[in-house]
Amino acid sequence: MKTQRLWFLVHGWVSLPVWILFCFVCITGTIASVSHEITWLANPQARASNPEGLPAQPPSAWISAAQNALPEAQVTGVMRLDDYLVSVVLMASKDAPNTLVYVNPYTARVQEINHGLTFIGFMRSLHGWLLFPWQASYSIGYYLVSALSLLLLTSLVTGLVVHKKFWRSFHTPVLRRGQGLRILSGDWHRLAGVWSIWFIVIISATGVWYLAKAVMWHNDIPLESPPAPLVLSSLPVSADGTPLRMISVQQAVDIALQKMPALAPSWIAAPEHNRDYYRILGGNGAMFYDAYSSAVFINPWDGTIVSTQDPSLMGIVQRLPHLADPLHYGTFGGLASKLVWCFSGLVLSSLSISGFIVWYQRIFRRQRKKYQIPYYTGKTRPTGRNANSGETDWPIAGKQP
Amino acid sequence: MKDRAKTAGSSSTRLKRILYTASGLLLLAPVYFTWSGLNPTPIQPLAQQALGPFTATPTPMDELPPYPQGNGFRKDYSVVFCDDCTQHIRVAHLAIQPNAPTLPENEDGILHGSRYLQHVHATAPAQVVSEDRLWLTIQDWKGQVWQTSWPVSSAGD
Repeated sequence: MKTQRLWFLVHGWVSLPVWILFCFVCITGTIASVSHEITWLANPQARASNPEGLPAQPPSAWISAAQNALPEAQVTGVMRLDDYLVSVVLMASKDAPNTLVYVNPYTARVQEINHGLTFIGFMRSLHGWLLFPWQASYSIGYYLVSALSLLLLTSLVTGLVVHKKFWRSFHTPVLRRGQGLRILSGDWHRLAGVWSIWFIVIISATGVWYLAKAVMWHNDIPLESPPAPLVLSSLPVSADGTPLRMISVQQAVDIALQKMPALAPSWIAAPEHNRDYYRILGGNGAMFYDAYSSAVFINPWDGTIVSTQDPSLMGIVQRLPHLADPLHYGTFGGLASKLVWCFSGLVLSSLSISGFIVWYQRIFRRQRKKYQIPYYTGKTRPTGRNANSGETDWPIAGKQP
Repeated sequence: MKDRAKTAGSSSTRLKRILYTASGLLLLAPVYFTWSGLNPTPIQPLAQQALGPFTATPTPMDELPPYPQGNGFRKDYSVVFCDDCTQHIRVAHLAIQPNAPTLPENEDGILHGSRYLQHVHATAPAQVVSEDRLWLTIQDWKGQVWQTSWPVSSAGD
């Protein structure tokens, strides 16, 4: 009995003090998981309409369209999103260093020029680090949010220990309506918690990974080893000082696809300086790897491949980041898995709210009744004279007078 | 006995309430950071200087001292060059140190970004002293090297 009570106290201590913060992180994460779809719904200019069923045009066509729209701007990167969304050409100009040009990937028509923060970016930043600023290699907000995964994991373990024979919720679910908010909240908390075990395990395990990643970033422990920059002496020299030209983005993409035919480029980064590379990142069709797991680094001056990144050749530490994101975001199965993640996120959010309601009602009812409530019986399901009151469902922290 | 239990229970509840309030107040932080992100404090750029055919104007990204990174310290700046000048630069580096540096072989303090706005994590000492200067070293496509420097305060601005 004492052990049971201790587990329950731990369950309360890891959940209740931060329930509102946890709930906020859950809700923002839920919205972030479908932020692309919300953008599609809210902004017609972000839709990649393709009524004629055209094949996707190459990145060079998107760049050409963006460059025609903003002739003075410089292309710094290209993003390929889901099939139903526009591709994004990133550009920099004198007045707008971060411009996003939305291009229909099938018709190569420019649909919007965006100079501000996108809804997708805002939601991910709000969820990921509560908009706390980044100090070089760490953010307090990122630590706070990822540390919640430890509390979530502890909450799951203690919750399952406290809720004896929790597996009954799978075959005989109990959800008593019409007997008050506390009974309903308690039943929902246990029922939804048990049915969400798989989701809580995934979210908290990937969250723990993000916490570990934050520590590694903060301590300059490299997660991946990008190739060293080009040696200065290997850069070409122009006898008359005329600026030299790099190979084009399309040439770089072609070289990457020759090397990795299965590569589906989702992020093309132009060199940031003359000793940098073209970075062509993409998925390789494997379900549980993210859209940046495969990469080809290309010398922009002679087109040689300097380095490649292939998930099948990675060590476990290198693989983890590419496995964690699809699992945490729910992107591995396209729209279907995103919707499942969104629903599960809502259920997880409701766990913190229902847990708080149970606690609040118990504490304040106890205060009102001046401790005249029955002591915890250890039963997991209501029995005897309190069968309908719900009082025996949860261990009571105080002593019976 | 009853009183002791009552006291223990209420102090535990009080602590939970305090932690709860603190975590709730934490949610004001995103509001503040959104506001401060939309209303950034302008930072004064350093004086424009000429290096041969180029002109450059560095601006510190913040008013904080250098931060640790890797086996040294860094201070972030943005640099604006004269119109169309960036494409004539083969490589450029920024460093805070007392004497003029040679062109580094590694990428420490290398300028990067677009032709309109360059960004750099300049190499710096842990504490900037009065002898330190902000050194910009440029090599053009002919291989010719140009240098200039600015005085810097203890915060590197």
